[in-house]
Amino acid sequence: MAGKIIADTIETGAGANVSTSYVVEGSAKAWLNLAGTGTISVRDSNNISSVSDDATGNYTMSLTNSMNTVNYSVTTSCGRDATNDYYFGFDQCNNYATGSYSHQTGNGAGTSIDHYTIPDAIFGDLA
Amino acid sequence: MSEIITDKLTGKTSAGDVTITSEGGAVTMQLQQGVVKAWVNYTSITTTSIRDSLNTTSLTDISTGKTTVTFSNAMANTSYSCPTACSNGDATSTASNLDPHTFLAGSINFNSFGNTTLIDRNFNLVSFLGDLA
Repeated sequence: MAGKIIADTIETGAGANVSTSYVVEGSAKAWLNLAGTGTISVRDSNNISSVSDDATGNYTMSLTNSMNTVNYSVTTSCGRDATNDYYFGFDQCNNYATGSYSHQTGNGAGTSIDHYTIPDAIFGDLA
Repeated sequence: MSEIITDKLTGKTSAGDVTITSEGGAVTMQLQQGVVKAWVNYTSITTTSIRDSLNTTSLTDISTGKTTVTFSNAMANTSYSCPTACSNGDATSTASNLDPHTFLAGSINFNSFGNTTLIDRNFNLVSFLGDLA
């Protein structure tokens, strides 16, 4: 049988303490490393059920467990190449829904372009 | 108010799996998967240096705009996630991007850009999520 602790504060032996609300609310609720070129694939993730390739440089990430509201935070990046990136790109997220969001990646001219590495992390309240 | 005083949390059923209940109470999630495994705030202006960090042991200034971040404790694989941001931190900032590449378990490289040019940036901000070794 799994053990269970209900507590408001966690404190280390050194005396540093933090409210458990920081642990729960401060944890990333989802993250992924997406291979966004060719046939896209998720290299690794947590709480990501699938990613759809909507168009060049446009992806929709679906969550396994939904967020509580659409007001969550998504921190992102994009890398064009595997080993040596001299390429200036941009990326942005939109279409925030509790169960999914969209991520667009592009070049310096504002044109949507697929990227080799697309790392995201999602923070907020789970349902 | 209840309080736990401990130096270590270990799952009972599975050592690497401590479960927490979601804010809404509808689901549970694995605490280890949600915890950021490393983060760093560094400047690459003049002398590349760490302002503050977690699980980051050193930086290597490769050349203008190019930096290697080395972890204290390595990741379990090269498929981790690393959202980034960079800027000059003032009104002189141009369009910026901090591109990750060369993912290794023990280190990763970043290129910082201003518009389309490799350039050193005052603020380079990265967090790392994934599995620790």
